[in-house]
Amino acid sequence: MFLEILFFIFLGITLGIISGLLPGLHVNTIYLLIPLFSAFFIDLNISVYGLITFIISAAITSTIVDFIPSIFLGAPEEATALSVLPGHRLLLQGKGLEALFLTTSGGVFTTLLFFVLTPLLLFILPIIHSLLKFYIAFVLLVICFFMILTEKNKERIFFSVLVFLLSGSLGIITLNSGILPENFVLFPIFTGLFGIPTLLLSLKHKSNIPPQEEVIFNTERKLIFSGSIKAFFASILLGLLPGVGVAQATVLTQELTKKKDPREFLISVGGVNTAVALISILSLYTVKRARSGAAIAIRNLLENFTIYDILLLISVSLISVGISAILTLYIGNKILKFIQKFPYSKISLIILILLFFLCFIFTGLNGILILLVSTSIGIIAPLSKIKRSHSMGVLIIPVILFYLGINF
Amino acid sequence: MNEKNLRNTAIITSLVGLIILFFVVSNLKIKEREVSSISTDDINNYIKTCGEISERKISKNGHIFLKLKERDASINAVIFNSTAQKIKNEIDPYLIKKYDNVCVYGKVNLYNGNLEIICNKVEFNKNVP
Repeated sequence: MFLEILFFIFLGITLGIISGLLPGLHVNTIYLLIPLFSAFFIDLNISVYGLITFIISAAITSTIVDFIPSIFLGAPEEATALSVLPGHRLLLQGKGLEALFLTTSGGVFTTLLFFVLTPLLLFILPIIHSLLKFYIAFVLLVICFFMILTEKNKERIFFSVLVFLLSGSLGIITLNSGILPENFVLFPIFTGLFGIPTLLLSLKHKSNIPPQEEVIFNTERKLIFSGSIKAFFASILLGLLPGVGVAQATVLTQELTKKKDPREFLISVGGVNTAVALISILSLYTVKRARSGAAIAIRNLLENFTIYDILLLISVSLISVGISAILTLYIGNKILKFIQKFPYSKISLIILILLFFLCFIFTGLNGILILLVSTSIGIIAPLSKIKRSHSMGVLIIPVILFYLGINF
Repeated sequence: MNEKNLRNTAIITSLVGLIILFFVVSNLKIKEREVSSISTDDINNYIKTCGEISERKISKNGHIFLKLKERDASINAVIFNSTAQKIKNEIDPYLIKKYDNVCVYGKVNLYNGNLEIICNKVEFNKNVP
Protein backbone atom coordinates (compact mmCIF):
# COMPACT_ATOMS: atom_id res chain seq x y z
CA MET A 1 0.00 0.00 0.00
CA PHE A 2 2.94 2.33 0.71
CA LEU A 3 4.10 2.14 -2.91
CA GLU A 4 0.55 2.52 -4.19
CA ILE A 5 0.13 5.71 -2.15
CA LEU A 6 3.48 7.03 -3.38
CA PHE A 7 2.38 6.38 -6.96
CA PHE A 8 -0.80 8.37 -6.37
CA ILE A 9 1.13 11.21 -4.77
CA PHE A 10 3.20 11.56 -7.95
CA LEU A 11 0.08 11.25 -10.10
CA GLY A 12 -1.62 13.96 -8.02
CA ILE A 13 1.44 16.22 -8.27
CA THR A 14 1.40 15.81 -12.07
CA LEU A 15 -2.27 16.72 -12.23
CA GLY A 16 -1.77 19.61 -9.82
CA ILE A 17 0.99 21.03 -12.04
CA ILE A 18 -1.15 20.75 -15.18
CA SER A 19 -4.20 22.33 -13.55
CA GLY A 20 -2.04 24.98 -11.87
CA LEU A 21 -0.36 26.00 -15.12
CA LEU A 22 -3.49 26.13 -17.26
CA PRO A 23 -5.46 29.28 -16.52
CA GLY A 24 -9.08 28.39 -15.92
CA LEU A 25 -8.63 24.68 -15.29
CA HIS A 26 -9.27 24.42 -11.57
CA VAL A 27 -8.35 21.20 -9.86
CA ASN A 28 -11.94 21.02 -8.51
CA THR A 29 -13.15 20.52 -12.07
CA ILE A 30 -11.00 17.41 -12.32
CA TYR A 31 -12.39 16.00 -9.06
CA LEU A 32 -15.77 15.99 -10.77
CA LEU A 33 -14.44 13.30 -13.06
CA ILE A 34 -13.49 10.90 -10.25
CA PRO A 35 -16.99 9.44 -9.70
CA LEU A 36 -17.32 8.96 -13.47
CA PHE A 37 -14.19 6.81 -13.50
CA SER A 38 -14.74 5.06 -10.18
CA ALA A 39 -15.72 1.77 -11.82
CA PHE A 40 -12.50 1.96 -13.82
CA PHE A 41 -10.50 2.64 -10.64
CA ILE A 42 -12.13 -0.31 -8.88
CA ASP A 43 -11.41 -2.49 -11.87
CA LEU A 44 -7.77 -1.53 -11.49
CA ASN A 45 -8.00 -2.58 -7.83
CA ILE A 46 -7.15 0.90 -6.61
CA SER A 47 -7.86 1.39 -2.93
CA VAL A 48 -9.90 4.29 -1.63
CA TYR A 49 -6.75 5.63 0.03
CA GLY A 50 -5.04 5.75 -3.36
CA LEU A 51 -7.80 8.07 -4.58
CA ILE A 52 -7.73 10.20 -1.43
CA THR A 53 -3.96 10.56 -1.72
CA PHE A 54 -4.37 11.58 -5.34
CA ILE A 55 -6.93 14.27 -4.40
CA ILE A 56 -4.84 15.71 -1.56
CA SER A 57 -1.59 15.86 -3.53
CA ALA A 58 -3.31 17.40 -6.59
CA ALA A 59 -5.02 20.02 -4.40
CA ILE A 60 -1.84 20.96 -2.52
CA THR A 61 0.35 21.05 -5.64
CA SER A 62 -2.06 23.29 -7.54
CA THR A 63 -2.01 25.81 -4.66
CA ILE A 64 1.75 26.18 -5.14
CA VAL A 65 1.87 26.10 -8.98
CA ASP A 66 -1.19 28.40 -9.36
CA PHE A 67 1.06 31.40 -8.87
CA ILE A 68 3.02 30.85 -12.10
CA PRO A 69 0.18 32.02 -14.41
CA SER A 70 -1.02 34.45 -11.76
CA ILE A 71 2.30 36.31 -11.44
CA PHE A 72 3.81 35.85 -14.92
CA LEU A 73 0.70 36.03 -17.07
CA GLY A 74 -1.80 37.94 -14.95
CA ALA A 75 -4.27 35.08 -15.20
CA PRO A 76 -5.38 34.30 -11.66
CA GLU A 77 -7.97 32.10 -10.00
CA GLU A 78 -10.00 33.07 -6.97
CA ALA A 79 -7.31 32.26 -4.47
CA THR A 80 -4.41 33.85 -6.33
CA ALA A 81 -6.26 36.95 -7.52
CA LEU A 82 -4.59 39.30 -5.06
CA SER A 83 -1.11 38.14 -5.95
CA VAL A 84 -1.49 39.60 -9.44
CA LEU A 85 -0.71 43.18 -8.55
CA PRO A 86 2.30 42.84 -6.20
CA GLY A 87 3.53 39.87 -8.26
CA HIS A 88 3.36 41.93 -11.44
CA ARG A 89 5.09 44.82 -9.75
CA LEU A 90 8.07 42.60 -8.94
CA LEU A 91 7.93 41.12 -12.44
CA LEU A 92 8.20 44.60 -13.95
CA GLN A 93 11.19 45.26 -11.69
CA GLY A 94 12.93 42.18 -13.12
CA LYS A 95 12.12 40.14 -10.02
CA GLY A 96 9.43 37.77 -11.30
CA LEU A 97 11.29 34.74 -10.02
CA GLU A 98 11.58 36.35 -6.60
CA ALA A 99 7.81 36.86 -6.52
CA LEU A 100 7.35 33.16 -7.27
CA PHE A 101 10.00 32.28 -4.69
CA LEU A 102 8.08 34.27 -2.06
CA THR A 103 4.68 32.65 -2.72
CA THR A 104 6.35 29.21 -2.81
CA SER A 105 8.18 29.89 0.46
CA GLY A 106 4.89 30.91 2.02
CA GLY A 107 3.35 27.60 0.88
CA VAL A 108 6.20 25.49 2.27
CA PHE A 109 6.57 27.22 5.63
CA THR A 110 2.86 27.50 6.29
CA THR A 111 2.53 23.76 5.61
CA LEU A 112 5.32 23.13 8.14
CA LEU A 113 3.43 25.29 10.66
CA PHE A 114 0.29 23.31 9.91
CA PHE A 115 2.24 20.12 10.59
CA VAL A 116 3.51 21.39 13.95
CA LEU A 117 0.25 23.04 15.06
CA THR A 118 -2.31 20.45 13.94
CA PRO A 119 -2.94 19.27 17.54
CA LEU A 120 -3.79 22.88 18.45
CA LEU A 121 -6.09 23.16 15.41
CA LEU A 122 -7.91 19.97 16.37
CA PHE A 123 -8.62 21.57 19.72
CA ILE A 124 -9.49 25.17 18.77
CA LEU A 125 -11.29 24.83 15.42
CA PRO A 126 -14.44 23.17 16.86
CA ILE A 127 -14.55 25.75 19.71
CA ILE A 128 -14.22 28.77 17.41
CA HIS A 129 -16.69 27.25 14.96
CA SER A 130 -19.32 26.70 17.64
CA LEU A 131 -18.86 30.29 18.86
CA LEU A 132 -18.97 31.83 15.38
CA LYS A 133 -21.65 29.88 13.62
CA PHE A 134 -24.56 32.02 14.86
CA TYR A 135 -22.83 35.31 14.01
CA ILE A 136 -21.34 34.55 10.61
CA ALA A 137 -23.34 37.23 8.73
CA PHE A 138 -22.47 39.85 11.35
CA VAL A 139 -18.75 38.97 11.34
CA LEU A 140 -18.67 39.10 7.54
CA LEU A 141 -20.35 42.53 7.55
CA VAL A 142 -17.78 43.84 10.04
CA ILE A 143 -14.94 42.50 7.87
CA CYS A 144 -16.41 44.20 4.77
CA PHE A 145 -16.78 47.56 6.53
CA PHE A 146 -13.25 47.24 7.82
CA MET A 147 -11.90 46.47 4.35
CA ILE A 148 -13.68 49.47 2.83
CA LEU A 149 -12.53 51.84 5.58
CA THR A 150 -8.90 50.89 4.95
CA GLU A 151 -9.09 53.05 1.79
CA LYS A 152 -8.88 56.22 3.97
CA ASN A 153 -10.10 58.67 1.30
CA LYS A 154 -13.70 59.68 0.51
CA GLU A 155 -13.40 59.16 -3.23
CA ARG A 156 -11.73 55.78 -2.84
CA ILE A 157 -14.26 54.72 -0.20
CA PHE A 158 -17.04 55.62 -2.66
CA PHE A 159 -15.49 53.50 -5.41
CA SER A 160 -14.82 50.67 -2.97
CA VAL A 161 -18.49 50.58 -1.96
CA LEU A 162 -19.47 50.77 -5.64
CA VAL A 163 -17.20 47.86 -6.63
CA PHE A 164 -18.29 45.84 -3.60
CA LEU A 165 -22.00 46.32 -4.35
CA LEU A 166 -21.67 45.79 -8.11
CA SER A 167 -19.67 42.61 -7.67
CA GLY A 168 -22.12 41.47 -4.98
CA SER A 169 -25.00 42.01 -7.42
CA LEU A 170 -23.11 39.99 -10.00
CA GLY A 171 -22.73 37.19 -7.44
CA ILE A 172 -26.43 37.26 -6.52
CA ILE A 173 -27.44 37.10 -10.19
CA THR A 174 -25.01 34.41 -11.30
CA LEU A 175 -24.11 32.07 -8.42
CA ASN A 176 -27.42 30.38 -7.73
CA SER A 177 -29.24 31.16 -10.94
CA GLY A 178 -28.22 27.98 -12.76
CA ILE A 179 -27.03 30.18 -15.63
CA LEU A 180 -23.85 28.08 -15.55
CA PRO A 181 -23.00 24.81 -13.79
CA GLU A 182 -21.83 25.43 -10.20
CA ASN A 183 -18.29 24.24 -10.86
CA PHE A 184 -17.70 26.49 -13.84
CA VAL A 185 -19.43 29.72 -12.89
CA LEU A 186 -16.46 31.05 -10.88
CA PHE A 187 -14.12 30.80 -13.86
CA PRO A 188 -15.57 33.68 -15.94
CA ILE A 189 -16.30 35.68 -12.78
CA PHE A 190 -12.76 35.62 -11.39
CA THR A 191 -11.08 35.82 -14.77
CA GLY A 192 -13.15 38.94 -15.47
CA LEU A 193 -12.80 40.55 -12.05
CA PHE A 194 -9.07 39.99 -11.62
CA GLY A 195 -7.35 38.55 -14.69
CA ILE A 196 -8.59 40.43 -17.76
CA PRO A 197 -8.28 43.95 -16.22
CA THR A 198 -4.56 43.32 -15.52
CA LEU A 199 -4.01 42.09 -19.06
CA LEU A 200 -5.96 44.98 -20.60
CA LEU A 201 -3.98 47.53 -18.60
CA SER A 202 -0.67 45.94 -19.57
CA LEU A 203 -1.82 46.14 -23.21
CA LYS A 204 -2.77 49.79 -22.75
CA HIS A 205 0.53 50.68 -21.13
CA LYS A 206 2.44 48.51 -23.60
CA SER A 207 4.44 47.16 -20.68
CA ASN A 208 7.32 44.86 -21.44
CA ILE A 209 8.96 42.34 -19.20
CA PRO A 210 12.38 43.73 -18.38
CA PRO A 211 15.37 41.36 -18.18
CA GLN A 212 14.79 39.13 -15.19
CA GLU A 213 17.25 38.41 -12.40
CA GLU A 214 18.25 34.77 -12.49
CA VAL A 215 20.11 34.56 -9.23
CA ILE A 216 18.01 34.52 -6.15
CA PHE A 217 18.37 37.21 -3.72
CA ASN A 218 18.25 36.68 -0.05
CA THR A 219 14.95 37.20 1.66
CA GLU A 220 15.15 37.77 5.40
CA ARG A 221 14.10 34.66 7.30
CA LYS A 222 12.16 36.90 9.69
CA LEU A 223 9.98 38.10 6.81
CA ILE A 224 9.25 34.54 5.66
CA PHE A 225 8.40 33.39 9.18
CA SER A 226 6.17 36.37 9.96
CA GLY A 227 4.41 36.07 6.58
CA SER A 228 3.85 32.35 7.14
CA ILE A 229 2.57 32.80 10.70
CA LYS A 230 0.10 35.45 9.50
CA ALA A 231 -0.94 33.17 6.67
CA PHE A 232 -1.56 30.34 9.11
CA PHE A 233 -3.84 32.38 11.37
CA ALA A 234 -5.57 33.98 8.40
CA SER A 235 -6.35 30.52 7.04
CA ILE A 236 -8.00 29.55 10.35
CA LEU A 237 -10.35 32.50 9.85
CA LEU A 238 -10.91 31.44 6.28
CA GLY A 239 -11.51 27.83 7.22
CA LEU A 240 -14.39 28.90 9.45
CA LEU A 241 -15.97 31.78 7.55
CA PRO A 242 -17.72 30.88 4.33
CA GLY A 243 -17.39 33.44 1.55
CA VAL A 244 -14.18 34.98 2.83
CA GLY A 245 -11.60 34.29 0.15
CA VAL A 246 -7.88 33.84 0.40
CA ALA A 247 -7.61 37.49 -0.64
CA GLN A 248 -9.66 38.89 2.25
CA ALA A 249 -8.04 36.67 4.81
CA THR A 250 -4.61 37.88 3.73
CA VAL A 251 -5.47 41.57 3.42
CA LEU A 252 -7.25 41.52 6.74
CA THR A 253 -4.30 39.96 8.47
CA GLN A 254 -1.92 42.44 6.86
CA GLU A 255 -4.13 45.36 7.86
CA LEU A 256 -4.54 44.13 11.42
CA THR A 257 -0.80 43.77 11.82
CA LYS A 258 -0.18 47.12 10.10
CA LYS A 259 2.48 45.80 7.76
CA LYS A 260 2.14 46.21 4.04
CA ASP A 261 5.43 44.96 2.67
CA PRO A 262 4.57 43.51 -0.77
CA ARG A 263 7.10 40.71 -0.21
CA GLU A 264 5.50 39.69 3.05
CA PHE A 265 2.13 40.00 1.34
CA LEU A 266 3.19 37.51 -1.36
CA ILE A 267 4.51 35.10 1.29
CA SER A 268 1.18 35.35 3.11
CA VAL A 269 -0.92 34.85 -0.04
CA GLY A 270 1.15 31.79 -0.94
CA GLY A 271 0.83 30.47 2.59
CA VAL A 272 -2.89 31.11 2.93
CA ASN A 273 -3.58 29.45 -0.40
CA THR A 274 -1.96 26.19 0.72
CA ALA A 275 -3.10 26.32 4.35
CA VAL A 276 -6.70 26.87 3.33
CA ALA A 277 -6.60 23.71 1.23
CA LEU A 278 -5.24 21.85 4.26
CA ILE A 279 -7.68 23.32 6.79
CA SER A 280 -10.66 22.73 4.52
CA ILE A 281 -9.81 19.02 4.50
CA LEU A 282 -9.08 19.03 8.23
CA SER A 283 -12.56 20.52 8.76
CA LEU A 284 -13.93 17.11 7.73
CA TYR A 285 -12.66 15.90 11.10
CA THR A 286 -12.94 18.99 13.30
CA VAL A 287 -16.33 20.45 12.34
CA LYS A 288 -17.61 17.67 10.05
CA ARG A 289 -17.96 20.08 7.12
CA ALA A 290 -16.49 20.05 3.64
CA ARG A 291 -15.17 23.51 2.75
CA SER A 292 -13.57 22.82 -0.62
CA GLY A 293 -13.90 20.72 -3.75
CA ALA A 294 -11.14 18.41 -2.49
CA ALA A 295 -12.89 17.97 0.87
CA ILE A 296 -16.20 17.14 -0.86
CA ALA A 297 -14.47 14.57 -3.07
CA ILE A 298 -12.82 12.96 -0.01
CA ARG A 299 -16.09 12.93 1.93
CA ASN A 300 -17.68 11.03 -0.94
CA LEU A 301 -15.00 8.36 -0.65
CA LEU A 302 -14.62 8.12 3.09
CA GLU A 303 -17.53 8.29 5.44
CA ASN A 304 -15.58 8.91 8.63
CA PHE A 305 -12.44 10.99 8.66
CA THR A 306 -10.32 9.52 11.47
CA ILE A 307 -7.12 10.57 13.22
CA TYR A 308 -5.15 8.25 10.91
CA ASP A 309 -6.65 10.05 7.94
CA ILE A 310 -5.36 13.31 9.41
CA LEU A 311 -1.88 11.78 9.62
CA LEU A 312 -2.27 10.69 5.99
CA LEU A 313 -3.29 14.27 5.10
CA ILE A 314 -0.23 15.66 6.89
CA SER A 315 2.24 13.21 5.36
CA VAL A 316 0.89 13.53 1.81
CA SER A 317 0.82 17.34 2.15
CA LEU A 318 4.43 17.49 3.32
CA ILE A 319 5.61 15.27 0.46
CA SER A 320 3.53 17.14 -2.15
CA VAL A 321 4.51 20.61 -0.93
CA GLY A 322 8.21 19.71 -0.87
CA ILE A 323 8.27 18.25 -4.37
CA SER A 324 5.96 20.83 -5.93
CA ALA A 325 7.97 23.72 -4.43
CA ILE A 326 11.13 22.50 -6.18
CA LEU A 327 9.26 21.86 -9.43
CA THR A 328 7.46 25.22 -9.30
CA LEU A 329 10.70 27.19 -9.12
CA TYR A 330 12.21 25.07 -11.90
CA ILE A 331 9.19 25.35 -14.21
CA GLY A 332 8.71 29.03 -13.32
CA ASN A 333 12.30 29.77 -14.29
CA LYS A 334 11.85 28.06 -17.67
CA ILE A 335 8.55 29.83 -18.37
CA LEU A 336 10.02 33.19 -17.40
CA LYS A 337 12.93 32.71 -19.81
CA PHE A 338 10.47 31.71 -22.51
CA ILE A 339 8.14 34.69 -22.13
CA GLN A 340 11.04 37.16 -22.06
CA LYS A 341 11.77 36.30 -25.68
CA PHE A 342 8.46 37.79 -26.77
CA PRO A 343 7.00 41.30 -26.39
CA TYR A 344 4.86 41.20 -23.27
CA SER A 345 1.97 42.96 -24.99
CA LYS A 346 1.83 40.08 -27.49
CA ILE A 347 1.87 37.54 -24.65
CA SER A 348 -0.89 39.49 -22.88
CA LEU A 349 -2.91 39.49 -26.08
CA ILE A 350 -2.40 35.73 -26.55
CA ILE A 351 -3.39 35.07 -22.92
CA LEU A 352 -6.44 37.31 -23.36
CA ILE A 353 -7.53 35.35 -26.43
CA LEU A 354 -6.74 32.06 -24.63
CA LEU A 355 -8.86 33.07 -21.63
CA PHE A 356 -11.78 34.06 -23.85
CA PHE A 357 -11.39 30.79 -25.76
CA LEU A 358 -11.24 28.66 -22.59
CA CYS A 359 -14.17 30.58 -21.18
CA PHE A 360 -16.19 29.86 -24.31
CA ILE A 361 -15.21 26.16 -24.29
CA PHE A 362 -16.03 25.65 -20.60
CA THR A 363 -19.00 28.00 -20.22
CA GLY A 364 -20.34 28.94 -23.67
CA LEU A 365 -21.96 32.25 -24.56
CA ASN A 366 -23.44 32.71 -21.08
CA GLY A 367 -19.93 32.48 -19.68
CA ILE A 368 -18.67 35.08 -22.16
CA LEU A 369 -21.48 37.42 -21.08
CA ILE A 370 -20.52 36.96 -17.40
CA LEU A 371 -16.86 37.48 -18.34
CA LEU A 372 -17.63 40.82 -20.02
CA VAL A 373 -19.74 42.07 -17.11
CA SER A 374 -17.21 41.00 -14.49
CA THR A 375 -14.37 42.58 -16.50
CA SER A 376 -16.30 45.89 -16.53
CA ILE A 377 -16.61 45.73 -12.74
CA GLY A 378 -13.09 44.42 -12.19
CA ILE A 379 -11.38 47.21 -14.11
CA ILE A 380 -12.90 49.90 -11.85
CA ALA A 381 -10.55 48.93 -8.99
CA PRO A 382 -7.19 49.45 -10.74
CA LEU A 383 -8.47 52.58 -12.51
CA SER A 384 -9.66 54.07 -9.19
CA LYS A 385 -6.51 52.87 -7.39
CA ILE A 386 -8.45 50.92 -4.78
CA LYS A 387 -7.90 47.37 -3.54
CA ARG A 388 -9.09 44.70 -5.92
CA SER A 389 -10.24 42.60 -2.98
CA HIS A 390 -13.46 44.67 -2.84
CA SER A 391 -14.52 42.68 -5.90
CA MET A 392 -14.75 39.67 -3.59
CA GLY A 393 -18.20 41.06 -2.75
CA VAL A 394 -19.20 38.66 -5.51
CA LEU A 395 -18.98 35.85 -2.92
CA ILE A 396 -19.36 37.70 0.36
CA ILE A 397 -22.67 39.47 -0.32
CA PRO A 398 -24.50 36.26 -1.38
CA VAL A 399 -23.11 34.48 1.71
CA ILE A 400 -24.22 37.31 4.04
CA LEU A 401 -27.69 37.22 2.51
CA PHE A 402 -27.81 33.44 2.86
CA TYR A 403 -26.94 33.62 6.57
CA LEU A 404 -29.51 36.37 7.07
CA GLY A 405 -32.08 34.00 5.63
CA ILE A 406 -32.58 36.02 2.44
CA ASN A 407 -32.58 33.73 -0.58
CA PHE A 408 -32.92 34.74 -4.21
CA MET B 1 16.78 32.63 2.85
CA ASN B 2 17.57 31.93 -0.81
CA GLU B 3 16.57 29.39 -3.44
CA LYS B 4 19.07 26.82 -2.15
CA ASN B 5 17.75 27.11 1.42
CA LEU B 6 14.19 26.74 0.19
CA ARG B 7 15.13 23.70 -1.88
CA ASN B 8 16.81 22.07 1.14
CA THR B 9 13.79 22.86 3.31
CA ALA B 10 11.51 21.38 0.64
CA ILE B 11 13.59 18.18 0.51
CA ILE B 12 13.56 17.82 4.31
CA THR B 13 9.80 18.51 4.32
CA SER B 14 9.23 15.72 1.79
CA LEU B 15 11.42 13.30 3.76
CA VAL B 16 9.53 14.01 6.99
CA GLY B 17 6.30 13.38 5.08
CA LEU B 18 7.64 10.07 3.75
CA ILE B 19 8.62 8.89 7.23
CA ILE B 20 5.19 9.76 8.66
CA LEU B 21 3.49 8.10 5.70
CA PHE B 22 5.50 4.91 6.23
CA PHE B 23 4.15 4.56 9.77
CA VAL B 24 0.61 5.73 8.99
CA VAL B 25 -0.07 3.38 6.08
CA SER B 26 -0.46 0.24 8.23
CA ASN B 27 -3.18 1.94 10.30
CA LEU B 28 -5.40 3.15 7.48
CA LYS B 29 -8.73 1.42 7.69
CA ILE B 30 -11.94 1.60 5.78
CA LYS B 31 -15.21 2.05 7.68
CA GLU B 32 -16.62 -1.32 8.76
CA ARG B 33 -20.40 -1.72 8.45
CA GLU B 34 -22.86 -4.44 9.39
CA VAL B 35 -24.73 -5.84 6.40
CA SER B 36 -28.06 -4.76 7.90
CA SER B 37 -26.90 -1.15 8.26
CA ILE B 38 -25.87 -0.65 4.62
CA SER B 39 -28.37 1.65 2.92
CA THR B 40 -28.74 3.88 -0.13
CA ASP B 41 -26.89 6.56 1.88
CA ASP B 42 -23.79 4.43 1.38
CA ILE B 43 -23.93 4.51 -2.41
CA ASN B 44 -20.50 5.47 -3.77
CA ASN B 45 -18.91 5.02 -0.32
CA TYR B 46 -16.10 2.53 0.26
CA ILE B 47 -16.83 0.15 3.12
CA LYS B 48 -15.83 -3.15 4.70
CA THR B 49 -18.52 -5.65 5.68
CA CYS B 50 -18.42 -9.24 6.88
CA GLY B 51 -20.84 -12.15 6.66
CA GLU B 52 -21.48 -15.70 5.53
CA ILE B 53 -21.64 -16.63 1.85
CA SER B 54 -25.19 -17.82 1.20
CA GLU B 55 -24.94 -17.90 -2.62
CA ARG B 56 -22.02 -18.08 -5.00
CA LYS B 57 -22.02 -17.98 -8.81
CA ILE B 58 -19.25 -17.62 -11.36
CA SER B 59 -20.14 -16.24 -14.79
CA LYS B 60 -18.65 -17.41 -18.09
CA ASN B 61 -16.46 -14.29 -18.02
CA GLY B 62 -15.00 -15.26 -14.67
CA HIS B 63 -16.89 -12.66 -12.61
CA ILE B 64 -17.79 -13.93 -9.14
CA PHE B 65 -21.24 -13.09 -7.75
CA LEU B 66 -21.72 -13.58 -4.02
CA LYS B 67 -24.57 -13.10 -1.60
CA LEU B 68 -23.32 -12.10 1.82
CA LYS B 69 -25.61 -12.88 4.74
CA GLU B 70 -25.49 -11.63 8.29
CA ARG B 71 -28.38 -12.70 10.55
CA ASP B 72 -31.53 -11.74 8.58
CA ALA B 73 -29.89 -9.22 6.28
CA SER B 74 -28.05 -9.88 3.03
CA ILE B 75 -26.31 -7.96 0.27
CA ASN B 76 -24.93 -8.88 -3.14
CA ALA B 77 -21.23 -8.57 -3.82
CA VAL B 78 -19.39 -8.88 -7.11
CA ILE B 79 -15.74 -9.57 -7.74
CA PHE B 80 -14.92 -8.81 -11.34
CA ASN B 81 -12.59 -11.19 -13.14
CA SER B 82 -9.89 -8.54 -13.48
CA THR B 83 -10.00 -7.87 -9.72
CA ALA B 84 -9.99 -11.60 -8.95
CA GLN B 85 -6.82 -12.05 -11.01
CA LYS B 86 -5.10 -9.20 -9.21
CA ILE B 87 -5.90 -10.31 -5.67
CA LYS B 88 -5.18 -13.98 -6.35
CA ASN B 89 -1.82 -13.77 -4.59
CA GLU B 90 -3.46 -12.75 -1.31
CA ILE B 91 -6.58 -14.90 -1.51
CA ASP B 92 -7.94 -16.83 -4.47
CA PRO B 93 -11.55 -15.63 -4.66
CA TYR B 94 -12.50 -18.60 -6.88
CA LEU B 95 -11.88 -20.85 -3.86
CA ILE B 96 -14.49 -19.08 -1.76
CA LYS B 97 -17.33 -21.53 -1.03
CA LYS B 98 -20.86 -21.36 0.24
CA TYR B 99 -20.99 -20.97 4.08
CA ASP B 100 -17.51 -19.42 4.20
CA ASN B 101 -17.27 -16.40 6.50
CA VAL B 102 -15.59 -13.56 4.66
CA CYS B 103 -15.05 -9.82 4.82
CA VAL B 104 -15.30 -7.81 1.61
CA TYR B 105 -13.97 -4.31 0.87
CA GLY B 106 -15.40 -2.20 -1.89
CA LYS B 107 -17.72 0.46 -3.14
CA VAL B 108 -21.47 0.36 -2.59
CA ASN B 109 -23.37 0.52 -5.84
CA LEU B 110 -27.00 0.43 -6.95
CA TYR B 111 -27.65 -2.18 -9.63
CA ASN B 112 -31.15 -2.93 -10.94
CA GLY B 113 -32.63 -1.30 -7.85
CA ASN B 114 -30.61 -3.43 -5.41
CA LEU B 115 -27.58 -2.49 -3.39
CA GLU B 116 -24.38 -4.36 -4.14
CA ILE B 117 -20.73 -4.10 -3.27
CA ILE B 118 -18.15 -3.96 -6.04
CA CYS B 119 -15.27 -5.67 -4.27
CA ASN B 120 -11.63 -4.76 -4.59
CA LYS B 121 -10.45 -6.95 -1.71
CA VAL B 122 -11.70 -10.09 0.06
CA GLU B 123 -10.41 -11.85 3.14
CA PHE B 124 -11.56 -14.70 5.37
CA ASN B 125 -13.15 -13.41 8.55
CA LYS B 126 -10.57 -14.10 11.25
CA ASN B 127 -13.10 -13.47 14.02
CA VAL B 128 -15.20 -16.49 13.02
CA PRO B 129 -13.72 -19.96 13.58
